[in-house]
Amino acid sequence: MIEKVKNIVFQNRFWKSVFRHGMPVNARLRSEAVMSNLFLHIHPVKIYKDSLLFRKTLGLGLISFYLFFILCITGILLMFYYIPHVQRAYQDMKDLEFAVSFGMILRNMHRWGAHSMVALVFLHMCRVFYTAGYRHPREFNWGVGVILFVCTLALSLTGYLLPWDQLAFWAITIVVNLIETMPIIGDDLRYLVVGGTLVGQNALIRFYVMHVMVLPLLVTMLIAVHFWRIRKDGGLARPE
Amino acid sequence: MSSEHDRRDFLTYLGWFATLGTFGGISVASARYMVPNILYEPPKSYKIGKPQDYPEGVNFLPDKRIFVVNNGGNYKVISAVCTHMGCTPRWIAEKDRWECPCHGSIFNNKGVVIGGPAPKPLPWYEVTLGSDNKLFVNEDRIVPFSQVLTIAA
Repeated sequence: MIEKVKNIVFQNRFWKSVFRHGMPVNARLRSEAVMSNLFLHIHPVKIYKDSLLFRKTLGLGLISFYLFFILCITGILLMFYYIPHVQRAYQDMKDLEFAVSFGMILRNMHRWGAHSMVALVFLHMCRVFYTAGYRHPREFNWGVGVILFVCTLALSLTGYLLPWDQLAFWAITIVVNLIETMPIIGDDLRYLVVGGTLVGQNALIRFYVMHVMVLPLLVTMLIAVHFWRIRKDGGLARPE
Repeated sequence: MSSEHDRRDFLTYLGWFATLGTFGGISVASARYMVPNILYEPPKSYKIGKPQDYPEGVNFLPDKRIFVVNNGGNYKVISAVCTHMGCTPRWIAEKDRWECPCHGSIFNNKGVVIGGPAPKPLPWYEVTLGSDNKLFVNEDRIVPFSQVLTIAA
């Protein structure tokens, strides 16, 4: 009976088109299974046993990725109720907290996830630094990681304005005034970021588009490169 | 050097010119697109009502972010935007000075920085009396502290 079900599920054209190898019953098929799977191929086919120990990495990179994933899902759900308009934004945020079913938990998952991601990405960088993971041949991936960290901060900042409360307004006012102090390009850059001279509707929609579209796309692309390079650079760093 | 080779070179350059021109043009246009030409922001010059509306002392107008100072019929208008990071300083009457809640900048009753991180004094704006007997503030004109609008009681 079980054999029959197994045959129906696994021995057909559809299953074989998705997984191009048989059941991973021996070492060769197991490595093939990992190699031909987009989601599993983060590690090279052959890996040092030590590298898989939790205490070697503390899982900080993957935790950062899981947080990004949670932020994408909760962010998409928040977008169904949030309208980036100066007269609606704060009200929508309060509706999410007090009127929408499970809105409060979604908003807070997004909020705490965002705070955590900044912390976890920073800790991940610390771990890579202290285990000398930035050295040859992983210099390029360290560079990609630094850009990802800056993107994380940019996402954090652009998201901070969206509730459109006093805290958000003054925080962004201060940040754009900091931009203004840059030599030569300061004034023009501030005008470009705010979309005018005051933090108003133009600034809100600019930050919103950056937060929900431009930066997440950039981060997704960079994460793909980052993960691909872990594999191509020979897995995790280890003592020489 | 055959003429055919010259033609190939010419077409190669033409191809590069067209490709870079197209993408360069789109990039420049997209960057320029992000800089708005028309702003729907509040005007920099406006009326703030009759002088009699402002009693003796320092009056805060939260909508316009200015203080109207009435010193015995002498009217002056000063910015309520801190020159450090753009917060709103508060008038502390007992101490005769403005104090900013964000980073602790302190301005004396002339708007001059006497403490904290603010790099510049609070600017005084030109205020005039219109023919309709209403005060008219122009934020584009910054005037010295000595300039006042005197209105006979």
